[in-house]
Amino acid sequence: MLDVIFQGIMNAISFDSLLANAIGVTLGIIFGALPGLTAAMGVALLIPLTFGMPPVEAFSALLGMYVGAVYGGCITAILVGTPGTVAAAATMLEGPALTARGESRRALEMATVASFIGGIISAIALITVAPLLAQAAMAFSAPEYFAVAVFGLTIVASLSSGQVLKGFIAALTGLLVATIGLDPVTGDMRNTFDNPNLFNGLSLVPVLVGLFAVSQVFITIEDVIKGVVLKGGNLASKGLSLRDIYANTINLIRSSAIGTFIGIIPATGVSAAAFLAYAEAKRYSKTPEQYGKGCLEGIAATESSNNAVCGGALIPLLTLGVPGDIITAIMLGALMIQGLTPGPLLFVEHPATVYGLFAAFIISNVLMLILGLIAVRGAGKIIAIPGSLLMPIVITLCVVGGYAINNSTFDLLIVAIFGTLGYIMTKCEIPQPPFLLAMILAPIAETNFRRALSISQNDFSIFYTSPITMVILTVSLVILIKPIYTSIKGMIKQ
Amino acid sequence: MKNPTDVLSGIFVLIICGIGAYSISSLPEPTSLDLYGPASFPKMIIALLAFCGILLIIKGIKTPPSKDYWKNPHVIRHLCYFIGLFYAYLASLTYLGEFFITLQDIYIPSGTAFCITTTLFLLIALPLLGRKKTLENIIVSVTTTACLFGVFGVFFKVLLP
Repeated sequence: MLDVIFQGIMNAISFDSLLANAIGVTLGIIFGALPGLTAAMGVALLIPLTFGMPPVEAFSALLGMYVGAVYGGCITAILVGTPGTVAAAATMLEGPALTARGESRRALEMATVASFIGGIISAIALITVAPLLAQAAMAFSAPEYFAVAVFGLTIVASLSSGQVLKGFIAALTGLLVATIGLDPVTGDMRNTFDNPNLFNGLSLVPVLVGLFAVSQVFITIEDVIKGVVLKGGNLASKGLSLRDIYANTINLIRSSAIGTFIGIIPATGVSAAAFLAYAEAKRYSKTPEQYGKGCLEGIAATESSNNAVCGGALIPLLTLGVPGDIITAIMLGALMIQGLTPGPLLFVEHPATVYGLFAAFIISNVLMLILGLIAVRGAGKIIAIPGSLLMPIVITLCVVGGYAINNSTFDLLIVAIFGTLGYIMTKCEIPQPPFLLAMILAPIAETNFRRALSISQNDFSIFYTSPITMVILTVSLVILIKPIYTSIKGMIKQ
Repeated sequence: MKNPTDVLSGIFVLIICGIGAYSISSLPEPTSLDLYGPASFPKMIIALLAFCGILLIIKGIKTPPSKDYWKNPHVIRHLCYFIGLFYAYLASLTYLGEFFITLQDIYIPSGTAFCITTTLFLLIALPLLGRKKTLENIIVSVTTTACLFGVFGVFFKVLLP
């Protein structure tokens, strides 16, 4: 066992992996800091460029991007009062006030240190909890895997951001798109319209790049046309002291624990963790009246918790194949592209890769601390890059990314179609994440459902005689029914 | 009709269902030993999707939109120009690339079509988005294309379109 762990660590600290990790973190900070660019967009664009790399190297870049982007959101939140990512929304409660008081550098440095501590605490949880959960999940067979996939699909309800009906439409469309290609059991062609490009189904990467990168470019271009300009923020000279960190020790640990726990629960959301940690920090604070007026404790709470979500969210992803949010859903796709199927078997079949991922995650956090402390000095200039210059460049990156994985011009068409579709979906308030989640989970759900029926000779009792399957399916049903009930109640009221 | 966007979205969903239903109509039914055939899963999805589409149409007829996203025609028109330019970029990239492949007697280095079309795309896209300085746009277009080619084509050895 020790040699496997050692091999994993060696893979993660090889020069290539460290370089990939550093590039990932740097790009992540930029993607997180610039409001037009999102973490999901960054990870989606990075996947096609990393798929030729060995898994640990590829995931060093992707995890670096993930960690960097979640952290990077705080830069604009603190300096100009616009959250770079959703994760940084809670940071805005204190950040702009601290900047106004001339303490922007102190706030940014606290955010960096807090993000590092949150990331490391969640990494410890990931390393200790994930193998145990994977071991418990070793008893899983086809019905359990089907139930887990259904559970993953129920996340749709919470990813729909208040638009439950539209979320279901997006998810069902994703399920329908996932049926394009060969039937996994009989080999019949489904929904291919005799087009040879569709025989193997739609490739995930061009869909990802289109839905999350190209559509985001179109949305940002609207702001460019409207003339929305983000001015660079000023950085004050007063920095963070060790005393500030020491004074927040308990706050940092508590908020990191909250973030990790929230991360483990699929679809609870990174911003929920940050707001909850903020509320708890205020409740336990000796000076709660300072909150909202530029309080460093608030920054420590929100930033440590939102970065702790990263490690927490990786636990269900790696052990059960259930993504907690949109970025981990994209990561799920990235794992599959690398030929790794997330779930308990991942820990048995590729233990060195798993431990390599754990090590890469820790390294990402260390690099985030180092590069983040450097980045805060130039942060004001980074965020002043105009969208009119950036967006055409990003769209050419989308073209390279969309083409790179299969070297197919048909994929470029898919990028364009899904880019336009993603934009129209945003305009019609139809959420995109359920579409992607359904597209990824549909083959797992369908294959295991049919396999389970084949094992039981078409006896449906296989889905409720196994206690694990029954519990997971019941929980899924409850999760699914609650928002439907609320939504129908709201519609009747209206 | 209080929300035409929702109604049109619902109709679009029903059209997708129609196309899906037509596509799977030729798939074989499950055998007597199987409950579940290749068409069963798509059929179930299409039925649910159609139901949701109808609900969305009803919702669109009865409920007003929370926000009107389409009210700025100037922005939409400019964005359509950009989207059109993007599609033209992809089409020219594909056709120029295929044209270069047909020129077997002349040596054309890999990535030439990408470099030409990307430079042109950026040269048109930058002024379209309000950047008026021609010299700056030329420098940005050429430098960006060179950087993309260098980083992806040379350093990462990614095959460029």
